[in-house]
Amino acid sequence: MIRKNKINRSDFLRLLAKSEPVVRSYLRSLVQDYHDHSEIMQNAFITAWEKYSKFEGDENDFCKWMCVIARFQILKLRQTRARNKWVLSDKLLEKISTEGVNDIASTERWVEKLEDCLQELPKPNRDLIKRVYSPNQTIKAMAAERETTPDALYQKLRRIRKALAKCMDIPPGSPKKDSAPAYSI
Amino acid sequence: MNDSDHNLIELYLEGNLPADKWEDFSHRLEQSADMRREFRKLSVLDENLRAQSIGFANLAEREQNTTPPTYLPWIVAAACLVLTFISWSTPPQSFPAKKSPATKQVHLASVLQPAPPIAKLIDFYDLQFQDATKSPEDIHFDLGKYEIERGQLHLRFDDSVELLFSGPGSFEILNPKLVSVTQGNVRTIVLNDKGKEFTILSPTSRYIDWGTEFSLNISPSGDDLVNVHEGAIEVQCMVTKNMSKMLTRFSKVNDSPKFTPVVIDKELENMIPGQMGGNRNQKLLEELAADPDVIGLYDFKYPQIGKDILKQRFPKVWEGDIANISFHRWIPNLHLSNTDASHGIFHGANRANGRWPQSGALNLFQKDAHLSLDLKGEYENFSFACWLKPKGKLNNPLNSLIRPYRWKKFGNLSIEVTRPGKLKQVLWGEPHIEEFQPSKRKLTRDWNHIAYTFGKVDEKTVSSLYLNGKLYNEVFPNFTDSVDLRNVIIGCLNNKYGEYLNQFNAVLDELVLWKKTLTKYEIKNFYLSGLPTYEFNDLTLAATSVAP
Repeated sequence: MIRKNKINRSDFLRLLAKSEPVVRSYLRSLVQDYHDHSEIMQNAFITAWEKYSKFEGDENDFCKWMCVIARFQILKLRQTRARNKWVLSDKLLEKISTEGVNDIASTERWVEKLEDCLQELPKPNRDLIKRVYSPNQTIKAMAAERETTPDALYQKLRRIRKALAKCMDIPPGSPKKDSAPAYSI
Repeated sequence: MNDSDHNLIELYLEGNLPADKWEDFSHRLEQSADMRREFRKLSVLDENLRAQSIGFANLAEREQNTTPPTYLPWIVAAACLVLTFISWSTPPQSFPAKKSPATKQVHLASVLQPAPPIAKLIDFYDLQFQDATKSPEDIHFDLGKYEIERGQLHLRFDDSVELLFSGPGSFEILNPKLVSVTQGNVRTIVLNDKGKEFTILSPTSRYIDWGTEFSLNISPSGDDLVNVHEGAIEVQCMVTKNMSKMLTRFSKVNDSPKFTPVVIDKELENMIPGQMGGNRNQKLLEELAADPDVIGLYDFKYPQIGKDILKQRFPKVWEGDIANISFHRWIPNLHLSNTDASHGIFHGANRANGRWPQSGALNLFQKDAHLSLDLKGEYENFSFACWLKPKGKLNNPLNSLIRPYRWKKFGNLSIEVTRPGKLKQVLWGEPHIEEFQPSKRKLTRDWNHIAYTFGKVDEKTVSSLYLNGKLYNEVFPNFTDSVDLRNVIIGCLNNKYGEYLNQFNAVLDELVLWKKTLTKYEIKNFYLSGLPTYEFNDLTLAATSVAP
C-alpha cells in the first residue's frame, strides 16, 4: 500500500511512467481520433496528479486507477462533441472500457510482448510496418514507391499485423521450434 | 472470432471502415467478447507502433535516460567549429571588404536566418496585385515595385512609419525611408523619432515627413493633392531641389507651393489605420443582413431609416411611451427581410465608439442602462453573439447581460457575468442541471466576443456559452426544449417591482441573433473574422508625441 503523508512527486512520476503505455493502449481502443486521444491523455494525467493525494493502493492498482480516470475523461469529451453516427455507442464503449480495466493484465502483457514480436519479424516486414506508422507517410505514396497498389499494401500490412497480434498472445517463455518465429506471415 | 471480424477491426483502426459495414461491426463487437478482446489487442498493437514511430518513447525509458548522452562533447565541438567559421567569414567592421560586382558577399548569418522584410504587412482589404500569383500574406515587401490593380494595403516600415495605400496605382520601395509613388492614394503616419524624414516621391515632387500624419493623392495626369493632419511635411520640387516649402495642418489652400504642381486640399482625408478591418466587418454585416437564418442584426450606428418605419416593430415594454421616444434612442434591426426581432430601444445609455473607426457601440454606463428587444416566438434552435468591452470594474456580484423582462417559464434564459469576469448561464426551472465547464477564463478589459447556442445535438438538447471563439460552458437541460426570449432586456435585469438591477457596466457592439444553432466552428470563424488585424498599442499611440 502506498501511503502518502506528503505527496511525493517522484513516486507519482515513476508510477505514471510505468503505466503510461498501458493507459495509452487502453485509450486507443476507445478513441479513434488521434487528436482526441492526445487530449484525453493529457487531461487524464492532469486529473491524476490533482487527485493523487486521494489514491490509495499498490503499484498494480495505479494503472487501473489511471484507466478509470481516462474513461471519465472520454465520457466528458463525448458530451462536448457533436456526436456523429460513426462513433461507438455509449453502451459498447462502456463494455469495452470495463473489460479493459478488469483485464488490465492482458494489456500490460501485450505491451511487453510487442517489442519481442517485432524483433521476430523478418527485417523487411519490420521496416515496412515501422515506416507505415512514421509521420507524413501515406499508403498511397508508399505503394507508388514500391510499384504496387494501395490495396495490396494494405493487405500486406494486415497480414503483418495479424501475425504480430498472434505472437502477442503467446505466453512468454514458450518453446520455439528451431528458433523460427512462433507465427508466420 | 473469425477472420472477417479481424478484418473489420483492422478496417476500423485504419479509418477505412465503410459506412455500410459500420452497423455490422458495432453489432458483432457488442455480441462477441472474443472480438472485443481482439479489438483491444489490435488497439494496443496499433497505438504502440504509432508511438514508437513518432519517437514517443516510453516515459519509463525517458526517466532512465537522465545521464548526459555520450555524443554531447561532439555537439559542443561542432558548435565551436561553426562559431569559428562564422567569425572567420564575417569581416571586422574596421576593414570593410572591397565590394566587387562579380562576387556578391553573402554573410553566413544571413543565410542561416532570412532578413526581415523592409516593410511589414499590417492589413489589407480587397487587394489585387497586377500579375501576382501570391496572396498578400506571402509577399515579402522588400526593395522593388508593386503594382496594385485595386484594394487597400497597410504597411509598417521599421516599426516607425505607417503607410496606407489605396489602389489602383503603383509604388516602389527604394529604401526603408524612401518610397516612390507613380499613382495612388497614400496616408503616412510617423510613429516615433526613428521615422522622421520618411519620404515619398511623386513624379514631380518630394514629400519629407517631419512628423506625423498626412494624406497624399498622386495621379499621373494631374496635380498632387495633399493635406497635413498633424505635424509638418516639407515639399520639394523634383527638378530644382533647392526649392522647398514646409506645410502644416494650418496651411491654407493659398499656401500651395507654386514651384511644383501640388495643391493643398483641406477636405482630403485618406484611409486611417483600422479602416480596412472596418471594411471587412462591414462586408460581414452585409452578408448577415441577407442571411435567412439571422433574425436580428444590430450595429448601434445612428438609425438610417425613418421613425415611422422603426415604429412598426418596437419592444412592447415601451408601448405607452413610443411617441415620446427620441429618434436617437432607436437601434434598428438591420436584417433586410426577417421581422422576427423588433428594432431596439435603449434607455440610460449612449452611443460610443465601436470596435472600428467610425463605427458605433452602445455604452451601458448608467445603473439602469439597457437595451430592449422583442422576439416573435420560441426557438428550438437559437444562437446569439455580441462583442463586449467592460468599462472599468464590474459593479455587481452578478452583472446581467441578457434575460427576459419576466423570469417565469421554461425557455427563459439568463446570461450573467460575475464580478471577477466569469460567465454564467441560467435556464428557468433547471437549477441543478449537469454543467460542463472546460474553461476558466475571464472577460478581459479589451473587446470580448460572447456567443450562445441552443439546440439539439444527437438527440440531446445542449445549451452552450462561448467566450472569444472557445467553448466556455455547456449544460444539458432536462425540461427546456426551446428558448423563449420574447421580451428581452440587455444590460441589466428588471425585477417584479419594476426596478433595474445588476447593471452590466460595458460597451456593447455587433449584436446578432440567429434562429439556428451555430456550430463551434462557425462561432470560431465568426470570432476570427471579426478580429482587427491592426490594433492600437503603445507603438501606434506614440504617434502624437513626435509632432514638432
